[in-house]
Amino acid sequence: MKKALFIILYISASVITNAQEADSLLKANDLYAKGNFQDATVVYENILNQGYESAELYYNLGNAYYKQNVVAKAILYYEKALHLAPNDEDIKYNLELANRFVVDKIEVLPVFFMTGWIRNLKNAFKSDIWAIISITAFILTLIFISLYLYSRGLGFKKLSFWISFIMVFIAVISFLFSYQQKNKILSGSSAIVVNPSVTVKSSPDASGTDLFVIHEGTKVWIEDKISDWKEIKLSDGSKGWLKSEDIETI
Amino acid sequence: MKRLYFIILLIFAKCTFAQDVTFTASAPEVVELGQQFRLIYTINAQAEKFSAPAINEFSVLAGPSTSQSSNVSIINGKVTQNFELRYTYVVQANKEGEFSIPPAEVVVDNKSYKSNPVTIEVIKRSPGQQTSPSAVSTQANQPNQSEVSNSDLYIKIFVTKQKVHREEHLVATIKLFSRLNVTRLENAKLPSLQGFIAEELEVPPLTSLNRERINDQVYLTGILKKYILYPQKSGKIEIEPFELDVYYQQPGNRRSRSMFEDFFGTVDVQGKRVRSNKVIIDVEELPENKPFNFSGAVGKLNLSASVDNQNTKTNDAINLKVKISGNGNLKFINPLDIDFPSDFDVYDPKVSDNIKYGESGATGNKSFEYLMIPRHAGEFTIPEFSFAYFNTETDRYTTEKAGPFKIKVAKSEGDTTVTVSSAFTKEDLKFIGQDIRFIKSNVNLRKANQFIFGSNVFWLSYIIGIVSFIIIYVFRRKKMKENANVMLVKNKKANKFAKKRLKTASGFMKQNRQEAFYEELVKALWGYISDKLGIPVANLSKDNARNEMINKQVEEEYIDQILNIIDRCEYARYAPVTEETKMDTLYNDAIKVISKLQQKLR
Repeated sequence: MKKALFIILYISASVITNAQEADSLLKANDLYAKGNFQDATVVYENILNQGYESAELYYNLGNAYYKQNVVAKAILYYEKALHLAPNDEDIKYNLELANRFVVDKIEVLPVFFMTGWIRNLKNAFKSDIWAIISITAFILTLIFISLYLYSRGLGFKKLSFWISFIMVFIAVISFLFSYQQKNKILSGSSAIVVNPSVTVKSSPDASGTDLFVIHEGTKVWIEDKISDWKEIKLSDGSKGWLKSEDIETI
Repeated sequence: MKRLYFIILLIFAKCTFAQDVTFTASAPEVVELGQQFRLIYTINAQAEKFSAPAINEFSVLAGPSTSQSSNVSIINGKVTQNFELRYTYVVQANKEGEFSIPPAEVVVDNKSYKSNPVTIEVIKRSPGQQTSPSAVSTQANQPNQSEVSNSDLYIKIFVTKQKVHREEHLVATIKLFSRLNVTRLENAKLPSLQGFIAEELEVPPLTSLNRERINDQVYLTGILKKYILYPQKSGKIEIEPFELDVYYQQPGNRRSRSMFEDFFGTVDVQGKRVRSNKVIIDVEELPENKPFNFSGAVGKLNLSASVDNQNTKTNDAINLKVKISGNGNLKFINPLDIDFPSDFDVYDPKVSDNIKYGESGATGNKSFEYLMIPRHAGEFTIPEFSFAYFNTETDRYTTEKAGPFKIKVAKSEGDTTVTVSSAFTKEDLKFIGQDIRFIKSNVNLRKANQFIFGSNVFWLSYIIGIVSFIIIYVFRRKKMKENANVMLVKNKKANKFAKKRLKTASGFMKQNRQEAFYEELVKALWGYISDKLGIPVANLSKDNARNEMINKQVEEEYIDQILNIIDRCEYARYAPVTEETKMDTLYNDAIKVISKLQQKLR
């Protein structure tokens, strides 16, 4: 109980809403509501540059870009928002809408149904929530192991044994999920194409064979990096190299 | 009719004054000693005063005689008019050497014009020469004059180079040399020129032959054909001889049949098939180290390229013009390999050339115009492209480069709608008329990239959990150990205590103190159960004892017995003694059960 309290305290401590930032946030939202999307964008980006972030902020910025018809940037910020709030309906909806404007139609490779489930489960919460779940489950595990060890009733002993077993499982899984969710944000393994048209090469060199052309807004996964070239993979599995400046990591 | 004359006269008069006045002198360049020739001054306007040049080194036989000609032609309403006035001298060379005749002067429309000076070379008269009429009589008596020696009439093929690289041009000139009065040329057999690509050069029609001095003799020469040749294979290539029937006049050796013939001399026309020499061209293969993009261009060439519009909009056409100019086999140059951005629609190039053929080969340019239409906005680059050719001046491969060209394509208005509609075709139009959801006003800002996972608190909570678990465990363990020790002692001493109590009970039995006996017996039995089964005295009850004994797998029989003895004792304490509750029976039963249990609960 004490620990849970501690964690809650820690989270609330990290939710620093500086008065100044809160002010500019209100201003930006106001500008957006008035239809002045360009200025709203500038203010939102200023807040980001101060080192703050939040799913809502990314979402609002994405909206501001969408309204200016800068679809690639809109998608980029929706994706960023989705990383922080993987299950937010509004973000998902707007992202889907923005994706209508992407020129490239890329077949999505079918995934094994288990992989899909696991991915959905993982995306149900962000990293912090999974971390708390993991800690809670771990502590519960210890409690139930103790109960198993010290209880006298046979049935109760059995029950606590199984519960502790499940709790260990939950703790390990959510630990992994928390790690992966964090890594997803930090590693920048996915990116959005921001240049209107990008020719993907077979090698990290301007003289490489042209493989295919992708357009702004397309989501790619970064596989490798050599100087200012990046190897990317599309959702249909195609791979190739392009210049780092053509894409922006989520 | 009168009117027409008038008009013509008007035009004539007008044209005369409008035209530029040219005044030229012409004479053969080489003459033989004693030869008569004409010196002609030509002017294209009505001249007023003609002041003759000082002709010192030659003797003027006749002249100046004037002649004029004029013509007017009207073609498609365009009037061309020519007027020519000639002053002709007939002159004879008296001395050997090179002499020049100073310019003559005329006055046209109150302006004086000077002609060009003329230089004439006079050479020694060769024996057997029969160009002057005076020689006819001396030659007439000589035998074998019908046979014309090869030195008097021959055709020669000249080439500019005999050793060339493949595809390097050379010029072949077929020239007729004659010291005879050639009248007609017929039946030319052109060389097949196998192994070459030949481009024929235009030569002036052979209306008159030139005079040329060769080996101190005057020859009449004429260029028959001229070719630019591009060798197509390496090795020795032969240019086959050129053949031609030449007809020439020769003073006849027949006896004159009339006085007219006597007077003018007799002339025979004879023919001869003349073959030229053959020429062997040594063609060298181009060097091995060909650049990858070399496609056979040879010469001295230049590459230039330009894009007409570098800031354009989507769907607006752009032209890339690639021009190769210089001297070489321009005609056979293929479009260059240019790596256009894949997002451009590029059409096949429009090829145009402007090539002039001359003595120095083919000169001019060839251009390729590419029409490109960008379909998407962005910054595109047409990368640097190159053109490789074999430079005949340096005998090396040279690569000319052009580009890169940066092209900025802006979105043209209406382009977005195109993209949108194409995007909508991906799926049904279910989103038409829908908008994104509104922004969220409730924003919780936090420092970027802060995670619970991996933080100190995260790890600490695991550690605290584990540490407290271990502490509790150790503590419990210690306590349990202590408990276990007490129980063990009690267990071990249970029999002893029971025996002690039973002894006391047997003492009470002997004293016949019934109440004390029963009490002591119950105590002995309960104490034994409590110690042996580890049940605290507070929890001691028959049910507990029974359960505990069942747990320890004591047979029902003994459980019943021991509990029965306790029951009987308690009963006996408050009720009259029966057979069953007799002190000695109970005592014996208790000893029996305890010894049995002692065996079981070891």
